[in-house]
Amino acid sequence: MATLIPLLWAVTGALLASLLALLPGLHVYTVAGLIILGWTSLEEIVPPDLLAFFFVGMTTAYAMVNSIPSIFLSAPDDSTVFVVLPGQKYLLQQRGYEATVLTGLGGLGGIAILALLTPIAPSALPVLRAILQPHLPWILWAVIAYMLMSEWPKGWDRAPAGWRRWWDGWRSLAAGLITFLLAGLLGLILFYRSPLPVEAAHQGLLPAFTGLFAVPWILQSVISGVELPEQDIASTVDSTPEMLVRGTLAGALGGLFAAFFPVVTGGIGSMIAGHATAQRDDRLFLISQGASKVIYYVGSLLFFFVPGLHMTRGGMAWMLSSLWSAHTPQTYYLAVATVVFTGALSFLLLLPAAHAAAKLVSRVDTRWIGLGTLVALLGVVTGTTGWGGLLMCVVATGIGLIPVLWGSRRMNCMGVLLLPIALNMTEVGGVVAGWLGLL
Amino acid sequence: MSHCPSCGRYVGACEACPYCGAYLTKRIPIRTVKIATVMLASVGLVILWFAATRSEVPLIQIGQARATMNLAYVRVVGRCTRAPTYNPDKASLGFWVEDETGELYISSYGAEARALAEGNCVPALGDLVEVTGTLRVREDFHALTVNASDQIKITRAEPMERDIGTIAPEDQYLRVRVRGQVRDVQRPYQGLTLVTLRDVTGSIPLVVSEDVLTLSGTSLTLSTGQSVEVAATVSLYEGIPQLTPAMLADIVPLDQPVPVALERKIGELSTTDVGQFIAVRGTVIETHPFSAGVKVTLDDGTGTIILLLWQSVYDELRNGVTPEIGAQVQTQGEVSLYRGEIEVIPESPHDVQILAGAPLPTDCTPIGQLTSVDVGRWSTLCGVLSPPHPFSAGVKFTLDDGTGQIVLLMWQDVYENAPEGLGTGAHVIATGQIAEYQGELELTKLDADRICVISPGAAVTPTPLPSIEAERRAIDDITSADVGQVLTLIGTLGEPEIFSKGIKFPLDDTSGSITLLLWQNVHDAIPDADRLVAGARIEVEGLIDEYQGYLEIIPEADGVEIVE
Repeated sequence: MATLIPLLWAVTGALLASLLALLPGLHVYTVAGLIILGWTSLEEIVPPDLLAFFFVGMTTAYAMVNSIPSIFLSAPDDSTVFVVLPGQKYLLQQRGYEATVLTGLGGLGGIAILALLTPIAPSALPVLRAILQPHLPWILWAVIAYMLMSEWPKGWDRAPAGWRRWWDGWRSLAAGLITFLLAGLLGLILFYRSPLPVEAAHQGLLPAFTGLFAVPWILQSVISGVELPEQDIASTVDSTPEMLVRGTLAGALGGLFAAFFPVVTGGIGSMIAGHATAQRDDRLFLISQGASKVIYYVGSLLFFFVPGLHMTRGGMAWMLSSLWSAHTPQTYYLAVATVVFTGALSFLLLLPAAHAAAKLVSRVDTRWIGLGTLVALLGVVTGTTGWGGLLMCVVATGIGLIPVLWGSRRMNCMGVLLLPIALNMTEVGGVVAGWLGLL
Repeated sequence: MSHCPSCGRYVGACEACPYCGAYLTKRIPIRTVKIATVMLASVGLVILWFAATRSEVPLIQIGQARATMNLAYVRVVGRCTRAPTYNPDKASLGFWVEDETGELYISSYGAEARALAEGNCVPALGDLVEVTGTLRVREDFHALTVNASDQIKITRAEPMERDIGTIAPEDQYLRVRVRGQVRDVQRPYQGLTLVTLRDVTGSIPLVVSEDVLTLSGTSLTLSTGQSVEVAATVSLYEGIPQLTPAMLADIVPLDQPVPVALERKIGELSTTDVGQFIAVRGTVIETHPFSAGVKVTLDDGTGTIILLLWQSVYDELRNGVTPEIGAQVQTQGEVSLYRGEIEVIPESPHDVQILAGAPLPTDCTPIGQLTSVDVGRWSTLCGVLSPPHPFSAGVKFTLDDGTGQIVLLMWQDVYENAPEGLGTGAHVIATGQIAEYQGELELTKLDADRICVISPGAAVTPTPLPSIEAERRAIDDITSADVGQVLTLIGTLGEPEIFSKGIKFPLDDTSGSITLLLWQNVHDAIPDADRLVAGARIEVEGLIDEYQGYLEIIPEADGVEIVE
């Protein structure tokens, strides 16, 4: 009974998240924040430990199913931005369903990796953490430097020699740097003088992330109004077992990196792991992205359950830590079992959901879906964080549109977290905030 | 607009339809959209920054903090209710703030913590504090992390002048200034020093934590008997008031001694004085040893009172002089009632002063009658002195009364204060305790007041006492026969044992072990006393003594050298 009830809560969370993940731009952390708001009045009925398992199920299902809006509606979050381009390619080739299944298979592989790591995590992770903890500041700066320096010029190489040619080469690079800097400044304002109400602090990143990632994609989708072809529902996927293993391992590398290091999200981890493993094949890429985002979302939450590790990584663990803490190995193993069960369940739900999405996108004008999503998102932002949140969302949208329109990497928007945290880790965050008059 | 709204044909970038001539709304150039985006981002950010820098950080009550406020940047105002802790190695600083709704842990790390500590921006107990930082809400613990050193505003009250005895539990968190005398310095455990302060109205513990020492950047050098002025906050420990200073600079030594007791006539004392610390003086009319010490009856003409000397106090009376019948004694101590009888109980040997020794008896004991049976008995002997024999710690004379001879053992301080005329052939009367050393009887525990020179002897050539270089010995070689000798030992310290008057260490070399006894004043005077810890290797030169059957070495401050 002690095992069954948490499992039931996790399954409920997984079912809910599988439905909500289909809505483009609606992040699982947003939903969790709203649940926490409501939970404060239901504390007597739902104990926090059951809420924790509910969140475990939600996170697992979201990580698995959110490929659908990313691929079919081009609405990614911070961890699925890299799925969009190959996903679009597959979509235009009438293979959106197959692309979704490939990421789902990667996700299953990611869950298998997490399950395999379970026995060694309680002994290995605390040691690893003790070794790496003093080095986190420079590692984070190295990640930032790599992210910025690995941006490549996207000019046409046709401009006349001189300043115009120089600008042709530097346009996208400058856009990337400006995006990172502006997002970083936005992050500093968020950290030190957030315009959001104090009661909405746990959702402090919602307006910024909505504006940086979701709204620009929706606007782009609405404006471009691409008409999608009829999608083919394939009964097989174009992959081999070997490719599945390779893609999963590459994704696991990025996902674990992102899950373990603070602030580094699944997208950044995937980018570094992708470069490290030199992936070229789109199928391999989709599988690895599926594995990476599942390991990032679920792994970072599972770290919160590892006995003796005392590590809080990822938005869900941070929200959960204000309500409950895991203390026993039994809780950890139960959480892993829950992840495996709800992961498999989510994959089974992913297939009919992807089927339905494939039918829907070819029959419904995606612009209407985009507009509806935009209204819903802005409603959630305003309702949760007030007019201050809406203002922040608008400003973040401006920043998020720069890479979309200037052709730079959208990952630079992660400066909103990377810059303030990196400054704080090197003990100069307060000094910089002071220079900006934020203290 | 790529298609004509009138005829529906493809028109590309034309401003008028080439097929039907319809005027087409002007297209928005992509370049404009791109620039507008950058403008939106930049201007929006400036507006956000402008609004942020002009808005106040929200002030919350501590009790309001809940899960939905996690990671909020907020301000709290309250009173510092627990003294700050500071770890310079981990660069972490923490203290607790309380308002009427709850208590919150405030923390700071890294450069900010160091800046707060070095900038003297650390609140003390009782200070009013306004702190701005990031709220961290956990399941069972709420904390606020300070991100910049100027985010703590401290309001420290001016201290109120108070007598120690008037400080009550109701004064918790009140900042007071008291003047008192250091009565005792104890270290119950590593990291905490308790100093007992007393004035005429009462006593109170002064709590000096390791954190205060670290934040002050200096060490505590208080010694028993020292008078000080202290500005500190009243805190409670198990409901009893104590004083907690913010910094060591709040403890100021005074030149003028602070009295700790008011002198009273014995006849005035009654049961209403029980618990008060008073001073009396009188003549000893009776002494009565008991299992835990000695009861001495004092009479000042207005009445009598029991002076209760616990064994620990009695054993350590200054110069080993004990109050004999007839002696004039001044003492201070707490008035107590035992079985209906009023007693005065001194806290330390320093509270008992022998103003005048007991009058010398005229009936001297014949030296020839003294035997080993008399060891431990107090006797008055008369006789003629033989030439002095100086030794490292004093002078020995042989006293001859015609019936026999006995050694008169005078420690250096007794000899220096003895009446003039001591020398070969001097006729003296001396009172002391009979002791036996290497089979020979001695008159010991002499006091300068109890040596009377009837007729002076030949002036003693003021040859300085030989400065004998202490012999270096292995600990195992030391026996009871070495008591009174000054020796040099080298060994390793064991775990310290703190007692009321100082610190004892086991001192080990490879051959054996001996107790190293450091009186508190000696320990305080050792420059690097903080290095005297278990495992330290030291060279010590001191007097060998025996206490309760155990040998000990008792050095002066300059006799202790830390080798490694």
